Amino acid sequence: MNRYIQLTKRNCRIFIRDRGAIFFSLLSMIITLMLMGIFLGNMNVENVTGLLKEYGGARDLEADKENAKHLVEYWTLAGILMINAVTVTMAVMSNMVQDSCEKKSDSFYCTPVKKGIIAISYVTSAVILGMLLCVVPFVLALVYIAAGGGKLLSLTVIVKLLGCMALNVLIFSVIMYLLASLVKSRSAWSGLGTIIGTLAGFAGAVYLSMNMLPEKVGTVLKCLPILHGTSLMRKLCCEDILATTFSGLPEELLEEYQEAMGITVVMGDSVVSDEFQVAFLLICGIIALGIAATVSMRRKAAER
Amino acid sequence: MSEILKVNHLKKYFHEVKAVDDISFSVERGEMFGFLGVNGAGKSTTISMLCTLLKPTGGEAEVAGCVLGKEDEEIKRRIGVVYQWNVLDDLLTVKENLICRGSLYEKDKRKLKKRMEYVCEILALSDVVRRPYGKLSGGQKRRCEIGAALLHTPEILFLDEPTTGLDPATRKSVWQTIGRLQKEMKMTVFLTTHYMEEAAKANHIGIIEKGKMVQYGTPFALKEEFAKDRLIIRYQPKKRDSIEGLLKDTGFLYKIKDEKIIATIPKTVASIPLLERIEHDIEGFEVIQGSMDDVFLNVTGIKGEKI
Repeated sequence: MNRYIQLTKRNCRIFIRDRGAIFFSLLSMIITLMLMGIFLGNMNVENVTGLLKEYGGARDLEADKENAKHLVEYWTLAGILMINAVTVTMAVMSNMVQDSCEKKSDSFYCTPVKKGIIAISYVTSAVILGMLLCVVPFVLALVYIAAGGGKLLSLTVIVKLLGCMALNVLIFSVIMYLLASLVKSRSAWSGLGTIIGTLAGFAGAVYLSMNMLPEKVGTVLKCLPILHGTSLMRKLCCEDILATTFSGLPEELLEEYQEAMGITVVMGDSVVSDEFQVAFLLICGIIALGIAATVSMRRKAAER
Repeated sequence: MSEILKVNHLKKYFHEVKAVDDISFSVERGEMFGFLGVNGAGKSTTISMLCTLLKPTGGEAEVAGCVLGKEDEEIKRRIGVVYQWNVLDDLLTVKENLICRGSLYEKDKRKLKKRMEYVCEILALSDVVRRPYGKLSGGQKRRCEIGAALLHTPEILFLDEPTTGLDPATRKSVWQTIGRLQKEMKMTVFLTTHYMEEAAKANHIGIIEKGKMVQYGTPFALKEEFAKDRLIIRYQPKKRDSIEGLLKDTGFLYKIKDEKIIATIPKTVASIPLLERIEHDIEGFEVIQGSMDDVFLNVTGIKGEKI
């Protein structure tokens, strides 16, 4: 246990002391916030107020605008929490790639520590730092929303959100472990990082809402864990504010809006449940773990 | 003395490539063993097998009393490895690095702390323990690497080209450290190096070539067999023929290069009677003792250009 803790501590320290790595791991989140601040946020608010104006009859326009603003804020928050779960775990896992490329791994493998423990320590450090860099923006975002007059989330929702964050971070840590075990060079890893960092925003329907994407692209996204992870977070973040914003409007409109914004995911003809999405994420993690174990066993056999 | 390392017909084949091809040797407890060979000869592959990182294709080995392949876990506890590249983390302090590495062997924090203090003292690291490893000089880094390998008091220390890339002064300081360790801790040192003068400090030397062990012996014995002393004579322009005649008569082998006669002599003292006879025909002379370089070049069949 002590060995596992020490190795995890080492991995965490290396990441925390590399300010550049922290900055770049949060770059996708920063870009998202900038895009939202510059035009996407206003566009999304105008979409909501437009809907309310069109279908809501006589309403308090100022209140609608305020509600729409907070709805978009919570919707964005869910998106950046998901993006961070992907990009931060990926950045932390670069330790493993670096250890392998700089042949530091050999120095661990010739100690009495089992290879499995070394692997788990990489995943654990990614989970710890992934959680940390999700929780900090989450708290800051809540403070920002509350300061702007938005209604705070209930304690139950916050606890559920933390659980969701932990699930997303864990699943993506395992997926990143698999990718890191397949990559042979640091340049390949940073190239992969650029691609994943860019795609995460699209795959989670953060930069563009689901209804703006071609149907085939949408179908592909529904088969990926990012959209389901984001959807779980959005449901929790936006539940209350959606009810307030869309009060008095037809249920169909709300359902359509939720689907268009990737708050709910429709597969076949029905909206998938939370349970399905959690199971989907877990299965993705298990598959990634299985492939990683197979890769490791094959490498071991090839050595003989 | 007992044998701490026994290698018997050890092989490692990568498909058709025979990286290590049926080598056998042993290392005595407490000695320094020099393992020499050109790049790609099979040194690092042998070390990787002995450190349990690679599975041998065939043969057996016993490391510190444990059978390779059957008691790997125990072997790992009994060996320390210093690689030719640095493995400690630049962003951690020396202390953090040492504690992290040491805790992979030792659970007791107090014991580990004591051990770390001792290692820092003998390696003169006490002044830098709080500094980031990445900010240290090349020599300090090497000493830290050795320190990390010593924290669990290994019975045998593998040093894979520990001074490659270091300047001469730093190399000397690293060697002083290794020498002190061997003396004070009575540790067995298994060394690979490209610097022949370093190899000469070993008690025994094994030379590997194309995966096969081609020579084994003490530096003295190998020098006796493979390195010849040389007498270099700067002759007076008109006396060359008479000196050549004398060398032919006395049966010395020689060659002429850059207006110098280079004669091979069995021992340095053999030059005295010869020099007495040509004393008035020469402008100067130099006697050069056979070195480990000669041994290495002769054994591996590499044609080196010597003066």
